[in-house]
Amino acid sequence: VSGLGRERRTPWALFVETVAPVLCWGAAGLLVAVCFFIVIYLLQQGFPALSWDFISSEPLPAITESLTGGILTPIGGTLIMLILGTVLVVPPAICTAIYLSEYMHEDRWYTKAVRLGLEVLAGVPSVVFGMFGLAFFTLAIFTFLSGPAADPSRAYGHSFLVGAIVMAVHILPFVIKVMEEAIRSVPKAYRQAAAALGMPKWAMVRKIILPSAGPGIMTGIILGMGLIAGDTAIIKLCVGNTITMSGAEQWWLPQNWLATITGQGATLTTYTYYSSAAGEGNAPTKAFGAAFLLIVIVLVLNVFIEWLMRRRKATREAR
Amino acid sequence: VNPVAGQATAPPSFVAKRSGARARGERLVEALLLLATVFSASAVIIVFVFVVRGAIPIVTTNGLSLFTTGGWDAQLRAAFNEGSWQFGILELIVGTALTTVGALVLTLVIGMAAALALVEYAPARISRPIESVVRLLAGFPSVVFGLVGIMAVSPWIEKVLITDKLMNDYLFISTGQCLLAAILVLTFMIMPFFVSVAVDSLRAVPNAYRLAGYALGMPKWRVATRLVMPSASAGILAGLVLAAARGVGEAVAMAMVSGANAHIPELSSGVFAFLEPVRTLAAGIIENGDASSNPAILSVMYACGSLILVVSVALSIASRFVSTAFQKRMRMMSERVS
Repeated sequence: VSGLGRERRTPWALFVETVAPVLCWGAAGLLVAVCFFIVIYLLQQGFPALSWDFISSEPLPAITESLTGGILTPIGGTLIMLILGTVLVVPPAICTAIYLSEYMHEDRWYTKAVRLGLEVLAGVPSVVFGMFGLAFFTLAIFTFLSGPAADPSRAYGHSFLVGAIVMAVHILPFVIKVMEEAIRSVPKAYRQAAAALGMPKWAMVRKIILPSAGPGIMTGIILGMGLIAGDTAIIKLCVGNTITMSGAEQWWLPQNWLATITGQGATLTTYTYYSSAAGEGNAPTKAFGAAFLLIVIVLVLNVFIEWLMRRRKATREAR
Repeated sequence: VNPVAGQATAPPSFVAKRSGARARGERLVEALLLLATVFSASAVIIVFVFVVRGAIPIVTTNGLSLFTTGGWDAQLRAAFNEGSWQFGILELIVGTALTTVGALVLTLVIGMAAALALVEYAPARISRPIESVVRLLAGFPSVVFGLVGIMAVSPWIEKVLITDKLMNDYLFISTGQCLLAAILVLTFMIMPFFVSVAVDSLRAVPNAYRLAGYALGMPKWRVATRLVMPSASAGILAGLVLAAARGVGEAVAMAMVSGANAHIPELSSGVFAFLEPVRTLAAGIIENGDASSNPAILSVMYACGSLILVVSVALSIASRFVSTAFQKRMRMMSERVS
């Protein structure tokens, strides 16, 4: 380190030392201000659209904004994606997290390969996953996921199921990372105590480690749900470009569920894109309404995560 | 809380003889867990193969000129109407590079300042809620950023910065959807990720270094910028590379705010080049989601996707190596002072 000490305390240096921290505070304030601006702006612009009618009626393709209907099917689409995506991501994520933290030898070459693979997967943007879904799930063997295409040698490739599978792969590395951290943070004494009791390894994992890591594992799941609810690119490319459900007219009835999840649809994100000035719909008030709902979902999930983190910290201190 | 405390008196149900069946069960469980792990880690290979494979037809018909020539908008129309296979994505490459680099510069300046304030100046009771807000901002859906960009940022640019004289002299299009809007929106999308990493890196610098600086009579600002920041530079770089990877892959928000033309801003317009529209690779993919039944357009979408994939994978591997080196260095530093 060069230039230590006081010899450089010219008036300019003194000026910098006074002004620079103020600018730094300004930058931090700017970040906070942008966050609040986005929430307040969406609330203010989306509020006129919010009504029971808006939430409970299906969207309609119309040029006049007052005739474009509500966002019932996009809300349904987001719920379907949340449920399917979570169900699909949790088993492989928990299994991988357990294997990485409890079974794998840390310094072997294949451990490094697995970690690199997960890290690279985490770096792939969602739009590339969307393209992957388009390539992979149009293979004829996947016809049962989305129905046949016009060309009978291909599958159609757009459906909630396809989108949920692609989404699960997309969020897998993020969920694994949080879960692995949670499992690793279980105190070593628990493992030693279990081993001293003669517990087989799997029983120890199931009965002691997983319950103790519960809040952390939950954090991983919630984080994944936030990613699912917020993604647009995978939905647009893999779930489809419609604003209503293409499966069955009464999509909410249990006997139509299979048709619904193998059919196309929209979520709140693709509906927002469609209704904004950038999409075909051009109904900005509706876009703001849907975006506001999205932000509410993100906020609720975030509050939940912060609460879980605080609880984890409290239990760590109690140990 | 000890989950096994209640079972201490009676022989616990799980204590069984290591019979053959039990050992087989253990091995089966381990094999299943290994299977899940191998699947998770190798998914990226399948993604890579299928995306790159889709790009082969358009690359073989166009050769290298796919990456060195432009004319995207007209070629898209020709492909749609006449089934043409001629494509060049230079405009999209330049658009991606300009938006990402622009956003990175702003992120480095504003984000670094914010991170310094959070770590070096703010007490915990102020920095902790601000960090929560930063995490929240990182979780906002990109379509929300796009919506705010197209409904608030672009109109603002159009009203304040684009004058009639400017339109006559330089610009061929007058909406506020332009390079500047794209950079501004992208900046606040990638900054939270950078700030989180930068804050962690600055915190990792041992406190003894700061105290040593103060003992030498260095003012706080100089300790922060001459001692702490250089020590944390590798971690900060890793954060910047991570932010770059996110910027390259951002699709929806860029499709909404960057303008509806694939256009390379003219160097001759000077600073006003920022008011010209651009198109990024990811936005090119998202916009043609409906046209994927056309084989040529589909293949060029794969080509764009492959390029994004290769760049973002290279960036995330680079970020990993830099941050591993940083962690090693921080370990060495704390050993040295203790």
